[in-house]
Amino acid sequence: MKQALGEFGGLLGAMALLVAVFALRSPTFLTPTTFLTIANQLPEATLVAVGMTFVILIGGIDLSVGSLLGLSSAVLGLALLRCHLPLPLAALLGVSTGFLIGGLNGLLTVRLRLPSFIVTLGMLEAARGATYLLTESRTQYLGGPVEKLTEGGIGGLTPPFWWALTTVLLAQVVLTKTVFGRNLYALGGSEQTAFLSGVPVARLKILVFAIAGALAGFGGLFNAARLSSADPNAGVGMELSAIAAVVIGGTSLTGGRGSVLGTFLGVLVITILGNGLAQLGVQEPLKRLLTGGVIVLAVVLDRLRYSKALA
Amino acid sequence: MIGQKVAAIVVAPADSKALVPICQKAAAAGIVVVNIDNRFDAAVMKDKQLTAPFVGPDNRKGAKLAGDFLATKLKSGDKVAIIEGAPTAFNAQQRKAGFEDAMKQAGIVIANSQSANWETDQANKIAAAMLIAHPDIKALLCANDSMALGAVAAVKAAGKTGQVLVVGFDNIGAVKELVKSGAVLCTVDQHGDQLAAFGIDYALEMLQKEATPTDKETPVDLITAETLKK
Repeated sequence: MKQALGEFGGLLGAMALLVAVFALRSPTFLTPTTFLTIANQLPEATLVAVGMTFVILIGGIDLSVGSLLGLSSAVLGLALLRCHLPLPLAALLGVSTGFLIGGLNGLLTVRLRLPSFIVTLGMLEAARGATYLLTESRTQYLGGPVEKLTEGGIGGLTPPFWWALTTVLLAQVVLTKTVFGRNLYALGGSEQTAFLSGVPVARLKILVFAIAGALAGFGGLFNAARLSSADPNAGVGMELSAIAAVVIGGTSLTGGRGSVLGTFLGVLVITILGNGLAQLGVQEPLKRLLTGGVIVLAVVLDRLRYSKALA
Repeated sequence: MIGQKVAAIVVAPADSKALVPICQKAAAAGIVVVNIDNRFDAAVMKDKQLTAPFVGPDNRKGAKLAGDFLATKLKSGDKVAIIEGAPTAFNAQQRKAGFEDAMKQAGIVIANSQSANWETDQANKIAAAMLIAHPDIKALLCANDSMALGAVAAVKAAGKTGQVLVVGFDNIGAVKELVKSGAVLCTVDQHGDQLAAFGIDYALEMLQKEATPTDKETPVDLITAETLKK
């Protein structure tokens, strides 16, 4: 705990500052409803950002996750509405879509020796195109069947929140306590060294992209559940906020250093910011300016602290 | 198309300025140009000396219709909030203006208005924040149905179903059941799927009559649980 406080001190401080500013400006911000609302909006962004952390840790990038989230929710919607499949099967189809295309991202990156930036940039376009084709660019209202995913829960927090939290903790344990996790750090540190010391580089890369895809798939599921509908534009631009969350969380864009816990805090910062600005009624142009500013500021604060710790 | 010597071009410009010069070239070549869906910028048209009739719906009027219907369910002094489309889109601005016209006329207070860029998810998050910051609002007026879906989910999550009304726009298939059940109070049909047909009809009419072209307004209809029963 003490270690975590030291590691994320700067970030937690920035978050406290953000909450304090909003609390001062808006009488309704510092209420349980606000925090429950924020928590229940977190799951998709969290899952996508966890996948992104893995990819960035090995020195890659995945720009396709937003589109994969949209595609998965479209597949889920069609499976429910057109094919009348039961929810578990439809959900499996949606998540598998993300998993398989994610795996394809990895396969192309490894086999064709292409930068993941290019492969996933292509997939960002292709998967969104496929989503529009499948849905005829129409929003589907899913209603009852998919809402089961958000029913139940504890203390006003929906099951997707608990799933996302579990994923964060599990991913953190996998990264720090397993051979798989250590291999990811090794691969991100130096691919050459990792390869020479017997890390199955190709297989690992493909697996990491597949995991990122599958997590985007789960994101699509939870997104559809929260909105009771599948929007063909779901997840547009999400890859960028996921990258922002990962970087705010202290993960190095060049790979080899970072954590999932940090990423989760990064997602929290971005989501708190979004809700706070909306509660204050800030208009779109200023909202974007401030969001961009906070992202850069959070990273600067974190780096300052990191370089001090090294000195 | 100018090279192919077509008789008429029906154009639905994504940008209301950039396509004006090329359409002017077409018009100069004797081709009938009809502008549908998104209106060409008046200043640029004047500058390029292009005359092309606009065939399309009056978004402001459509939004006013929906706002007027909402006003019959509320009373003067009640508070509402608007969820706008993309800030740069002309039809988003028109719909907002139409909602404002109706609210002003009925003496209803617009407590807050923010853009959710036409998207369900953004609308959901903004609506959720609005419901916290303005617990007394009675309705959310959304500039399209996709955003109305997000607003309905936010109202439900806040446990305010029935207390906060949701208004949409576009009459997409996804809201039909919700309009019937009352989760969405009303929406507006601009017959977007028929817009190109309206444009072509008008171009043919112009070719036959060779009359001076004037703008033509296409119908907008209010859709409520009542009209869906018919």
